[in-house]
Amino acid sequence: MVFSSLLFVFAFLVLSFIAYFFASTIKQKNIVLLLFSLVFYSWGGPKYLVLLVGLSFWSWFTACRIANARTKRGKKIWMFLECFGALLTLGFFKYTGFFLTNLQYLTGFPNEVPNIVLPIGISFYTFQLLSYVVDVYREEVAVQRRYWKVLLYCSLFHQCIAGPIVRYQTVADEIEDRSVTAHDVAEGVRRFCVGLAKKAVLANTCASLADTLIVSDQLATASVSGLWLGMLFYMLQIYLDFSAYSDMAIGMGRMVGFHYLENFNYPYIAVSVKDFWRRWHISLSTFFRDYVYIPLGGNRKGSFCTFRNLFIVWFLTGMWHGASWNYILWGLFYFVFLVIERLFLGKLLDRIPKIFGWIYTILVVYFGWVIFRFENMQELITVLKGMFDFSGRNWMNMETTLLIQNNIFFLIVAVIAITPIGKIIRKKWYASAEAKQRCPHLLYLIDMIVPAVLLLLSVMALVGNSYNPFLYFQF
Amino acid sequence: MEKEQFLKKKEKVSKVYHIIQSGLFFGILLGGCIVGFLMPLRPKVSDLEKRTLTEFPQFSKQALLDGTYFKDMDTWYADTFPFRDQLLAVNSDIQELYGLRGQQIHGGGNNTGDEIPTGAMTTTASKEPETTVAESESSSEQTTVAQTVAPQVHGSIYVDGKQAYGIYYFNLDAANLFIDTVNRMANGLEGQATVYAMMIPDNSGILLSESKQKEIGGSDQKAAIDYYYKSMNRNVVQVPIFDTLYGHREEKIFFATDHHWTALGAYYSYQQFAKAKGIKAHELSEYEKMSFPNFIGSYYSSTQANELKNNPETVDAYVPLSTNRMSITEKSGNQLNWPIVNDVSSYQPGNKYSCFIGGDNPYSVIDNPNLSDGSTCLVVKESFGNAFVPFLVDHYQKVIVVDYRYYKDNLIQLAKDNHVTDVIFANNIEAISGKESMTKLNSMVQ
Repeated sequence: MVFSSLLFVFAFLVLSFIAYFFASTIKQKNIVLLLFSLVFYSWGGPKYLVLLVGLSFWSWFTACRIANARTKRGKKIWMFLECFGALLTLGFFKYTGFFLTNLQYLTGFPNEVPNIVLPIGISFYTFQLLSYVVDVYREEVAVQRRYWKVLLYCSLFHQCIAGPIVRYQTVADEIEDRSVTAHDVAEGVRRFCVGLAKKAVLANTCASLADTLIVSDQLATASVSGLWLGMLFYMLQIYLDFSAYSDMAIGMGRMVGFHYLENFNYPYIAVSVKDFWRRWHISLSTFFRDYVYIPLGGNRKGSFCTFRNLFIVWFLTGMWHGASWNYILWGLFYFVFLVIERLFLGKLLDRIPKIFGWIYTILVVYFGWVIFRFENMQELITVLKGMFDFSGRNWMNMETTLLIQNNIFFLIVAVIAITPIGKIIRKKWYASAEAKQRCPHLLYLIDMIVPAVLLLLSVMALVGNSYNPFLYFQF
Repeated sequence: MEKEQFLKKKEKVSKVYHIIQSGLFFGILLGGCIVGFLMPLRPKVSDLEKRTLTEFPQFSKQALLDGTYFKDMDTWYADTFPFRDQLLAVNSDIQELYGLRGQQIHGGGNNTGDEIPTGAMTTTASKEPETTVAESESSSEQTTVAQTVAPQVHGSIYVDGKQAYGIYYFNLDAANLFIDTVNRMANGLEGQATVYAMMIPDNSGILLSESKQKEIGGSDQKAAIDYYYKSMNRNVVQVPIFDTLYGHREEKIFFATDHHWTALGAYYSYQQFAKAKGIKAHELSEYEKMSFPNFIGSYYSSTQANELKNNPETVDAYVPLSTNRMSITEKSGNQLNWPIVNDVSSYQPGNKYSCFIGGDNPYSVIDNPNLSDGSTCLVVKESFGNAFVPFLVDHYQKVIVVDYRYYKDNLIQLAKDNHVTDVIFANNIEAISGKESMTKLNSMVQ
């Protein structure tokens, strides 16, 4: 099931709220959440539930073993066993096909590459479980003795299939006990509605516009401006889509008393590539920082090791996004810019006006998404060439012109939606009211109405919306 | 002290707002939930999209395990949500606000037509009969009684204010298959029947200037039609209508909200046909005219452009002089006795074009009580032929109408069995530019 479906919004979510509301103790509430989460997960194919339940069991077991082990060595062995189990599972389901296809290309073996279906959310929940066990090993978090609570942590439908990658330490206390205030619920409602509208209204429209302009068998004849504009819509789509899922997750968590960490912080206003990655999919980059980069020595062992570590991290980041060379290329593309920034560009960017840093960053990110979009290298090359082909191609065609005209106000709204303008205005308004010791009734009123309006708009967009792709399913 | 008091008050006030805010949210959700469970309110067909909506999935263990059962349930739930069409209408109103929507292109991608050869057809189309015929239409099959015309829009649509146009893309493979079909028919019936071919252009080819057609990316329709005619055997009688239609372009010969031509456009073409056959065409004034206002056609369903919805048209139809009854065999095999021109006043705004010969059916027969000369005509058509057939009725003892998209048997055999004297291919060049449907048509003359 995806959040942006009517069945989820009007049936699943409502029923889960009702059940949650009538559960009186925290234990009952947790059981309600667990049961609904298992149903939610099964929706995409019940057979993969076995994997989720099994891997959680293994992680719970190894974590308990680590806690029980008397020696450092014993702890280490169980930690390795956990990593082995989780990574083997992820590797098998996600990368076997990719690996064998390449092997076949090089050696002719095997004759047939098996088609392994990627279980939904496996990239997210394996990482969550890994972080939990490693944190237990590092004694940064207390072990959870109850298996079903580990299962609840990893399967919770808020974040299980599309992130954010919530650390166990973030929610450890709240699983045991949590409370909500009217403010929490309202905040959660607001966040959920913003996310839903971002996905159902903005991201889906951006997706269909991008797909109108960038059609794989018509790349050779597309106009130059059509390609640029199509990629712009894709760039908007991918942020709006992904951050929308995080918004909804954070919102739903908030409504029942969980406080997940932010996963995005307006990445498209970043003024350097390094800054961008501090704002984009934060839970993933901090995961790689804490569990790969720093354990490898980080930047403390001289510049060669630093660059080696960075290379490994960005190779893995790329690979995590998909089992195809373009994702790896995309990761390494960022590696190159991060190295350049580390060598000299970073210092330069600090000294010049921020706008230049922003232009540079947004261009890097833009071309990053071009690489990201095309799993087929031939198509990628055609598009990149086409974007700079000012002699052979039409610069503009009527279709592109009309598409801009037809969607000009939408484009403006979508661009505003990726900036923190709304947030800043709201904050300033509250602060000024506070200073004057006055209740900002108008602002309260707006805050009160807006979520409902967004919800209704989203529902309308979702009705009969057969076009509802979910980009992050493949990761 | 004052500050503390203020904070307390603020807390209190904001709490009220927060509770109302959450109340609104949960209220809408609960309302939606209840409406969602009201099964009788769920629509089964969408008039707007002219299709049957998704049915509740059949349970099977396999479907359950691989997840398709739940996935289909998702689709069913959204597809048949109560008040769907109304919600869609509001949504399309909202989308009108996305930008300036006077002119639009729909479904274009960066489509381009194939290059149109300047000579005649050089390669003969596949000789081998196709054993597998993809039934691409089966999904849009209707269970309702002969009253619908399936939207048959292959290309893209260009909307300019309240008039929409089909953008035509020439497809060489499909063209060659069609030409081969006509030629085979003519050869197969040599000595028995005359084969006529009438290539019907899209409205854009007649109504839009050449430069505009180029701008919207369509192929040159006149050149395409020339290619068709040039490649046909000498024993095929051509019915050239392009210039005739062009001469009448100021009149209402095409709809603005629908991809079809009007009965008037079909009438001018019928005059050309009469000329080619050497008979005298009836005057338009001889017929009884029926008018059905409030028609909003396929261009609206495809684009949901409000300008089209707000400018409904009138479908005029002319009743044949000799009879207004016909026998229809529906896709289900069901036989009906049906009016040739049917009163569709009570039909949905999108379905009024089906006033002609009961819409699209695989096989229909019209017997003319006033003639007994054995003259029999076979019309091979898609929906453009519907408006044309009524004019033929008075000139033959028997008119057989086949919609090749739904008919399944051999056409040459059919013509032989019925002692057909004339075969008329009345086809819109856009409708015959799909390779799949042309492969199917071609297999029917092998």
